Amino acid sequence: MDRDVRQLYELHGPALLAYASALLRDPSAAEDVLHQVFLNVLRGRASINGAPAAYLFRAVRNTALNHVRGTSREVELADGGVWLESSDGSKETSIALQSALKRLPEEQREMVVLKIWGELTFEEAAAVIGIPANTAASRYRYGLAKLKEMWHG
Amino acid sequence: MDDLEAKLREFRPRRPATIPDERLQLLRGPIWVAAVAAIAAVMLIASWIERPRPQPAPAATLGALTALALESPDQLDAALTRMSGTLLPDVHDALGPARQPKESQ
Repeated sequence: MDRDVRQLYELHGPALLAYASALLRDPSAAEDVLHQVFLNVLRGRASINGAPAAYLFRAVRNTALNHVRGTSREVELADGGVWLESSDGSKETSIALQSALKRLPEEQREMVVLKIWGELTFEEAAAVIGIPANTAASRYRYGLAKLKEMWHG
Repeated sequence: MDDLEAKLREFRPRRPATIPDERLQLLRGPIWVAAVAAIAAVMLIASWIERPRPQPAPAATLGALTALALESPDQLDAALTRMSGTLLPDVHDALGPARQPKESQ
């Protein structure tokens, strides 16, 4: 059990951290949220039902939203760490993309992260958020279109 | 759009730090309780060691009392009080000398 959970952490941890960072816009709070989700599973307070990836993305989403409710907006926007690493290792490139993502509407940013870095299908991402699959697809397309205008990577 | 997706996929999400050790997390509560209990025990032992000990009563002889009266007159009264506890009967005891005599029938 313990080893299985840690393997899931190794496998999905980076994408889940990216997702939590997209929701919270604060990488350190995102990491706390991620740890909370996995510690709950390790302690037996939560059990994984169905596909592990779908469950974990959903759990991260719920925990992150709870965190947002308990935090002031000033604190939420204060931090600016790197949560996406560019292939050339340039921090500036990473920050530029993160900044463009930050300017997307929240629901579009969420979909872009779930699809690109979470590697979920529209159906899977829709199930995580609790929306129809075609809504998920249109949010994703609108998000990409806006990102194309804002970011010149 | 496919180009943009490909460009985005070149970025990799940062690897998170390892999960904090679960056992340490679980122990965090008991460790604090144990630390507080240990500090309380040390303070209790220290106060017990440093508490004022009752002074032994001087030998109940006239010579000893005279010497005490001459050397430390201010301690004579306290010494007499301590001695009386061992020499005189306890008047508060139910079977002591101050008990009420039973009424004859």
